[in-house]
Amino acid sequence: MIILPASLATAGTWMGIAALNIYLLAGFLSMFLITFAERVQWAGVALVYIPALWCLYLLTFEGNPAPFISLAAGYIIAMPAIIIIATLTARSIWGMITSYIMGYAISLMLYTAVLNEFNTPEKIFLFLVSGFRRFFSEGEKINLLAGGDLQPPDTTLLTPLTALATLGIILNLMTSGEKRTTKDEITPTITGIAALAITLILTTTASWISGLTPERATLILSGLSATLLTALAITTRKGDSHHAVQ
Amino acid sequence: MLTSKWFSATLATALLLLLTTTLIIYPPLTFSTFFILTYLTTYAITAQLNLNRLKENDFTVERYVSTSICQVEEPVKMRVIVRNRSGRRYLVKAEDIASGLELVAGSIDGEKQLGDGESMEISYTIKPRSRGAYVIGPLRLRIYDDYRACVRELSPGPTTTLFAAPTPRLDVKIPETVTMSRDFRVAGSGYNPFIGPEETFRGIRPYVTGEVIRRVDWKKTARDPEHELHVREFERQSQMDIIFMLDCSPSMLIGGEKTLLDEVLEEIISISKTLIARGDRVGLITLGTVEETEIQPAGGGTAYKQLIQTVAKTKPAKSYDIMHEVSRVRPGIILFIVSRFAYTRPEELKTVSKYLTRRGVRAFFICIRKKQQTPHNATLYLERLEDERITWLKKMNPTLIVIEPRKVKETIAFLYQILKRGDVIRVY
Repeated sequence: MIILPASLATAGTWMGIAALNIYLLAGFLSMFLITFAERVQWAGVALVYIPALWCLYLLTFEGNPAPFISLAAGYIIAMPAIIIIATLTARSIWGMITSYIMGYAISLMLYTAVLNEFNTPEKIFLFLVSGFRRFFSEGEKINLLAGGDLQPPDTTLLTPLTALATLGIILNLMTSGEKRTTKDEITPTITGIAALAITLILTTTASWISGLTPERATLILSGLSATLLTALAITTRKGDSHHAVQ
Repeated sequence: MLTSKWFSATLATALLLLLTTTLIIYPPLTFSTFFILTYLTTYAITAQLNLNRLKENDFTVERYVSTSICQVEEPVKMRVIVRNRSGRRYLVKAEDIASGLELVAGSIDGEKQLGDGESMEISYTIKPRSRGAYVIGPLRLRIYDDYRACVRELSPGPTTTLFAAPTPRLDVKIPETVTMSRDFRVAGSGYNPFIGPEETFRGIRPYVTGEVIRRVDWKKTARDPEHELHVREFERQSQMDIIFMLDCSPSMLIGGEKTLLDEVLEEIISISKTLIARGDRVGLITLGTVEETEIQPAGGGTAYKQLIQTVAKTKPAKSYDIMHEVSRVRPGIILFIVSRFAYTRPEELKTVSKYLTRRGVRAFFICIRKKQQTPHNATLYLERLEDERITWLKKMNPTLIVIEPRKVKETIAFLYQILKRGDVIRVY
């Protein structure tokens, strides 16, 4: 469940790429293989250096940047797939959550690029470069998925998958400790889920009523999160004289 | 407080929420991140509130130790029982603190789900590598919630002090027939002015059930055609009051891994054990230690235990004034002063000797000379200085006995035998 949104976005990216070439595939494959077991990893390293040196040769001596850019685009496109694998193999809840969100965010960026006609290796590369240029330049909006002529992916399909993924994360958290079902142990979980539901209803309702833009809604979410974190900090410090985290 | 896994997960989610509310804003992703953060924080808050209700006495700890006094390198078994009396079920991780002790077997920590009234046990064996008084405990308890999001630390229960003393040597024997035969009036000497010596070898008779085995005369027993046990009979046990005044100042910390002080303490423990076993009363005064110790002469197992405890916790700290120290010794005592006399001038030692004789204290000054096995060029000069210093001490105080550390026990045993016989002591 956790990898559904990122997988769908990655699949959409691949399906939307108009011009697949050997350098793109080499970049993808080498980055992908490098994450595997030790024996394959060396093959991956060889696959990284040989195409990279060849592309560098083409760029410097023959003045052809296309292979180099395609190779870089291949590396970038491989990232969501690698992170999805990391999500599945994560040993800590920290790793699981981080890889889930990062994998989702990166695959979403690439999917956005493809949907907005940045569907060749060169254009994908340029899309990311322009995104960072927009980030560092002055402007009203710094959202990498929207603004200007950019349109983010439609939420219709990804929203239910995201809901399922979130549920999957929470289920994973709930099974990370010892599995027990007595009343005392389940109370905090129920309380947590109830608090979650209330917060969700309140924020969604507030968003609907006031017709807030996504950017403003995110500000509210940030504020609520900060409040929650403050409450957490106060609670965990209150009844304990020890400050070191175990 | 938060556990590391929950803390890192919360922190990572908060940072990623910052990312998905600023740089990569996509409502499903942003809300998903927010939901995860909400779950992490609200769960942690409720779990922490639950743990905060715990009190120190919600968990009781019982501690059992196979012996509180042991010898260096002797394995000691520990057993710790933790019982949950909180009325709730918790995941409990217990870890005992045994600093400075080597774990031989078992584990000093354990983890278990404990319901109300349930208990867990930690068993392990430790051994001290060197002399000392080791404090074991208190037990450190970590109480976790269901998913290990939060933890509460408690330190309930008692601590135990383990006294590790040097292993006594049993290679020097004092014959049992040694007895006082002349008028030598020191306290506890066993001499009676009316009837003479109190301990006299009377003869050999058949063994009676319940008698001490060490009284068995094995030679006579072996010669007996019917192989019956025979025991040596004494009229009365002779007792002497002996005090060891031991220099434990930093001047005794010379030597390698085993310091001069450790060597001397081992010798003193050995001879004390022998003397107490013979029925004498032994006391101890430590000089130059953190805590000044004065154990009055006493006999029996309790006295030996007290000596062991004192020796175990002896810590060198400062110099001392020998004149001031000897003034505390009461007349009639046999006093063995064992030291390097590094803080004592020859004239001062002479004065002390005269003072003690005048007060009726039979004192023996034993100077320990530890020579390096393989002296380096840098230490040769120091060795020569030490030799010159001791020669000067000896010149001014002819009764000063200069010996190696390993000879302390047998020297004291020899002096003891002479005292019992009442012979004239000549020191060379």
